[in-house]
Amino acid sequence: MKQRPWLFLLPALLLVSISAFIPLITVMNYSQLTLLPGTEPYFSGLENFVAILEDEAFRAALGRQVIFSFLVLITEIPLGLGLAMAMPKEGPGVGLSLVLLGIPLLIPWNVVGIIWRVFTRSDIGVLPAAFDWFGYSYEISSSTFDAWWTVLAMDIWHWTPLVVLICYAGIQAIPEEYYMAAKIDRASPWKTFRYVTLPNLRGVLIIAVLLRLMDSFKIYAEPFVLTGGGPGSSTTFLSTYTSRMAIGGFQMGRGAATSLIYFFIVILISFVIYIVMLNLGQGAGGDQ
Amino acid sequence: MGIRVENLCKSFGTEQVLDGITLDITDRSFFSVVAPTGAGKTTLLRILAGIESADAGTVYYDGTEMSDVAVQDRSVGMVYQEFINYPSLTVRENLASPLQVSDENYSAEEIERRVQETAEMLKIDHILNNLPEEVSGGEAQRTAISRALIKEPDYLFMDEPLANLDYKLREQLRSDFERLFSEQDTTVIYATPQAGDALAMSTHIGFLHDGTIIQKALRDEIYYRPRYLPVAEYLGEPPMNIVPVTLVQEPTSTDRHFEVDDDTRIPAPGFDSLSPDQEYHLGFRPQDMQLSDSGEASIAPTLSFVETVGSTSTLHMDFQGQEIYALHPDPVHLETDTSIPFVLDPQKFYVYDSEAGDLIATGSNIPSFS
Repeated sequence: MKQRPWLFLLPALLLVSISAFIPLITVMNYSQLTLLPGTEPYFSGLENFVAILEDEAFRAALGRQVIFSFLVLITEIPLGLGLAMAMPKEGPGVGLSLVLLGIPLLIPWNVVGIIWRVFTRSDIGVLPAAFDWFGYSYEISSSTFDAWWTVLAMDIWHWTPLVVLICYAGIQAIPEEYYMAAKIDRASPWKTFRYVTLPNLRGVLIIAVLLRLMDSFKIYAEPFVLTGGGPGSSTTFLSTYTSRMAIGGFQMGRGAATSLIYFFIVILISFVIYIVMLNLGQGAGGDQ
Repeated sequence: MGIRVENLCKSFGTEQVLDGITLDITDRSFFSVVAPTGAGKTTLLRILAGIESADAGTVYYDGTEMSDVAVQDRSVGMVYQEFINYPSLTVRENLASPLQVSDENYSAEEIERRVQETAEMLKIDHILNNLPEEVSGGEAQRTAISRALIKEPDYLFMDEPLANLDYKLREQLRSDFERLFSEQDTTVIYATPQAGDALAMSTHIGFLHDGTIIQKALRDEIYYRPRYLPVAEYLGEPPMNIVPVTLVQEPTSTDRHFEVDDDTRIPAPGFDSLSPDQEYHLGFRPQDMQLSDSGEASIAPTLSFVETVGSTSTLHMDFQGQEIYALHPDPVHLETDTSIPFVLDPQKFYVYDSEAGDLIATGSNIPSFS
């Protein structure tokens, strides 16, 4: 009878093993091998890790990745929260806005990339034509600045709706009595937001921030289709760098090591943000 | 003085929730609005406080019409069923917040003094540095009540504040409220579906039925003289028993009795003002039913089950498809599904008109108020 709990856990354990543990351990194994096509793999210890950490291209890609995710978070979270607060609370407008918001989320990543690719093409694209009209020469294939903000705009267009939906659900769950109590206290709109809406949304915002952080850190298909990582390597993010290393450059061992480093960076940043947000505004909120 | 309401109406869609409420709430009283869930108590409270507007009718505070005065410009406090405190502020900061945003510019010392005073009054001075989520439900609700009281509002509205608390805490807060508000200058307007809560704490009770306050009186008066059947059937724990009867005049003597059927004849001395051969609703309270020792019985309902709390037993019985309650001061051991003979005291009878449902006669032992 003692084994019975394990019996119930078995299906889940098997699934997680096949989908997560075994691949992860395989990657750990690869990361310590030198794996080149046509040669016998041999053990090289931490050599791959050292090589990657010393690689300028890796550091540059990591830097870009951090900046990109930071920009994504500081625009999408406030924007999403603001839109969620502006959305109608009841009536026919609710369904309409939810459908409108849902549309970008329904489109697959690479299709989003293709849509924006067409949108920004210098010969037939609407965006360059529109900028031309204002006297700005938009050049996604040669201007780093244009490439960057276009990738960013694409991500905001694609993923802000997710933040809106999460926040909207959270806002709907705040009892109306909180707002009445704040009103009776003569709290200003800002203070009502600061002391009623924000604290009640804390859990929901943690989820939104972590989801967007992890997702934006893994961004691959959209910039790959839109800019191909260029101009030069100016929009090459960590995932693009890793896949190039492993598949394009046939260096499986080094690719595996990059994946592991990548994995630990995502976990570390997520963990730090989670802890910080969990303690944010707790107890010390005396700044009335 | 106090609150006066004239002809208040409110509907949501096609549903008329409040239908012409006229009411006087005495200054400094503890007024309970009692009604079953969904009768419109919350709507009434919200309109009185100024959170919601009425379709028609007027609300006066101290003789001043309040229609155009927003809730934040009135001297009101509000406590809800949910424990509403600012989640990111400590209990101390929660208490201080209404004073800090007030127009009156309280000094820091004044705020601190008031926080201490209110916290001690509501017995939450030991949790002042905790967050609302770290304290128990009872303490969270005490915090919410302190928040409402700290500005010393003229009117405090409480909408089922004890509903989310467990039995023990309810009992405790009940007695605390009674003590607290008898010492305060605040007029309390309290909505509850619990007759027991209202009877324990209030000075005045109003019963809301079909969108109007059908009876509003001093606590004892509404309890001892419920003017209408719905009030009688609701106020009391357990509520008054109501049985449809016909008044019959004995052909051979001057005696009269209430006849339920051929087997059940309840003596009716002293009800000379009632006309015989008429149908009435006879009311008697569960505590006025005596178990018969002699076997002679006014009424013999069938026992469904006995509920014993402490030393008091509540007998749940069935009488011709109707639920009848009897209270017994000692634990009883009776067999279920048998007929239990009871003697009733005609001096404690209530007789209601069977059509209109209003009180037309009472036994001589029912106190009268005038």
